[in-house]
Amino acid sequence: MIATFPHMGNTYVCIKALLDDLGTKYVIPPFPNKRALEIGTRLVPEGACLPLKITVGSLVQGYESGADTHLMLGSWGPCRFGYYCQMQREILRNNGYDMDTIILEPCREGLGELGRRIRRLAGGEFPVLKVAKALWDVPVIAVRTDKLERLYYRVMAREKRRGSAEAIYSEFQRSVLTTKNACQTKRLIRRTRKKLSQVDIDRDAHPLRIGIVGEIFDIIDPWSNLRIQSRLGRMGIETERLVTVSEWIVEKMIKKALHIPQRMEYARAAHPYVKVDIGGHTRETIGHTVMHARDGFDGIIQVYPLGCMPEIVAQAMMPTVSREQGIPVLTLILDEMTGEAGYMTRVEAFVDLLRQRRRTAETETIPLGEYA
Amino acid sequence: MRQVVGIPRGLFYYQYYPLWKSFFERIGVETLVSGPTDKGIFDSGLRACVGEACLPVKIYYGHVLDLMDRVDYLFVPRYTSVSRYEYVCPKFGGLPDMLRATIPHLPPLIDPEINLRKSDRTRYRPAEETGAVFGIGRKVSRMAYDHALTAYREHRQRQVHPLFSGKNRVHVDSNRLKILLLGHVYDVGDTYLNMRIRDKITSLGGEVVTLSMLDTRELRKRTTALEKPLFWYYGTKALGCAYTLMERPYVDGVIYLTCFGCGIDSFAGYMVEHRIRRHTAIPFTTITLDEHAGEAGLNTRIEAFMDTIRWRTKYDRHIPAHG
Repeated sequence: MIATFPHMGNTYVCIKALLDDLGTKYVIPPFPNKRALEIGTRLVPEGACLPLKITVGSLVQGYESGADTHLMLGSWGPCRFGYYCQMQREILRNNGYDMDTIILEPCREGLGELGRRIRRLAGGEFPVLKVAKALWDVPVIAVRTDKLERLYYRVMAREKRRGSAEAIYSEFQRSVLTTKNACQTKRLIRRTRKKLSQVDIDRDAHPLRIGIVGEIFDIIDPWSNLRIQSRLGRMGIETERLVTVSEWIVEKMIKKALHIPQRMEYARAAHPYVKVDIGGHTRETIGHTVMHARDGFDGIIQVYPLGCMPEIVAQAMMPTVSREQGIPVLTLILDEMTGEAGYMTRVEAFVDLLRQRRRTAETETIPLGEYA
Repeated sequence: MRQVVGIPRGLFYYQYYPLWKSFFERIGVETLVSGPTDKGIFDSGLRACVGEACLPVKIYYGHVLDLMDRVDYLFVPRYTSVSRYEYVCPKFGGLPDMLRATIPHLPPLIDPEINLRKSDRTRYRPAEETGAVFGIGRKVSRMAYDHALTAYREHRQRQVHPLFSGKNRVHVDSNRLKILLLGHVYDVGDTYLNMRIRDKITSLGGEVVTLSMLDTRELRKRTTALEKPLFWYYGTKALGCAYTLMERPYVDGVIYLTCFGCGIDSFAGYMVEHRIRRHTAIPFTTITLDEHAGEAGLNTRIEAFMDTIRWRTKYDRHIPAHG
């Protein structure tokens, strides 16, 4: 059995560590690229959302590199993401890509079934200690990778020599692929963090701060959002994204499964606008927007794939949130036709608006209504 | 002064109106339903609603705008889930929030959450909450809801097509082609949205069968063949339909009616189409509607589809036209 799994931002770092420690053979598909999207667009029904197209393309590329088993997470709705695993399975099968599927999800049949699936992944064995250790390392590595990424975007906005942080970070992304186990991965993360914190930065800088909110896949995966965070970073703008892989694993999976109370800051912040959890990241999008506004951010960029049901609900509320919280919001919708130039023009115009707004705010206060 | 509750004629109106009508009658509250969708409602909905939403949601906005000045309350239940382990569309759950955020000067919304995903022990809660708005006790509300539920079940039972009720096989006119019109209840039910597609099919010699004519419980049983069950109420029903057709192809054609941007249809539609095309010989077509859809195009497609079926039964001697 040779497993493969679709890319989503930095998830490959922790999944790779898991598979290494379980002793599973695997191939990591190439990072998302244009060809993956083309394959995905051809095979996937046109109305499906962009992440499905990219992941299917990724899986086909994994198949071409010799994989015969497809590994995917699942959940139980109402967002379409929960059904990706089954859709990928059907689409691959219908188009002649003969692959087995292992879905890691809170199975309805109970924990036993999940255990059986992990055993299959571990090659038929289930050495409890080894599996427990490997599983334990997944959230640990996820948390550290996300911290590293966050540091990277902070340093990037303040560095004195443009490109030094980026060089270190992309070096990290490449060398992760050569690590042999979770331990080495952790060591690499530690080393990279040290390197990043040694970058020469302008300590008095007061960069614009933009919060990135929206649909989880599109904001986590840099390739699908046209590297918006790095691009803004290169303009000397600090970006913050509260939706992360580790938050998802720790809060939405582990704490939920163990019935430990989750961190509900965002839900409280979103409460005036969204009363209950309606699925997807609606509540996070609204809640994080409010939280960023309170933290004195300059603006918010909402990113989501065309047709994303939960984010449409959030977008409908955004004008009200923006007005009441006094923070400008730009909504970007992505699909396979997204052109880079048009997209960046809008981002740059938005940045200009924020700069102007800050300049004006330093002299006088103007209600947002005039800009919104 | 008597208080009037407005019920917008959109989305789950087409499924649950009989239930809520009889509930409000029982507790003695007057209701007012917005008129059938027309150009005015359609256009005002398009203007008010966020552009990315699907057509049925936009039309719902139009109905809300149509009603809001004539009523004291608007009844917009938050349908999160109407069946165990299943959801309806996330937009349904966020509908009251969306309305509040976008339409100024709304009358108070009555938005009890309907969530039967984990268990049906919460089934009285929406009725109790709604009753409480009018100062009606929980017990009375419960009784009224029970009564309404009976009425609703009878209504649903009446809808079931004699062909599928199982007990008495009624002779069905064999000259009429039976066309299964698959689609969300609000796509099939709103005649302005679907440009009277049912009349068109009937006038071309077809007999329309819809999902509400089938027994949901029967459909659900078939979906056990799925490797991972769908977690959408509508998806399960549509897939159940596909599996039923694989066992017993009792219709002459399938038209899948969907609105542009429907997330659930993008998945369920693919799975249904694949099953029907690969495992049955029934002709299948998908019709996607949006606010720019023209009627002439729809007419042509339906006529062509009906012609194809007819020619096939006439000349093809029941040999499937494809591999």
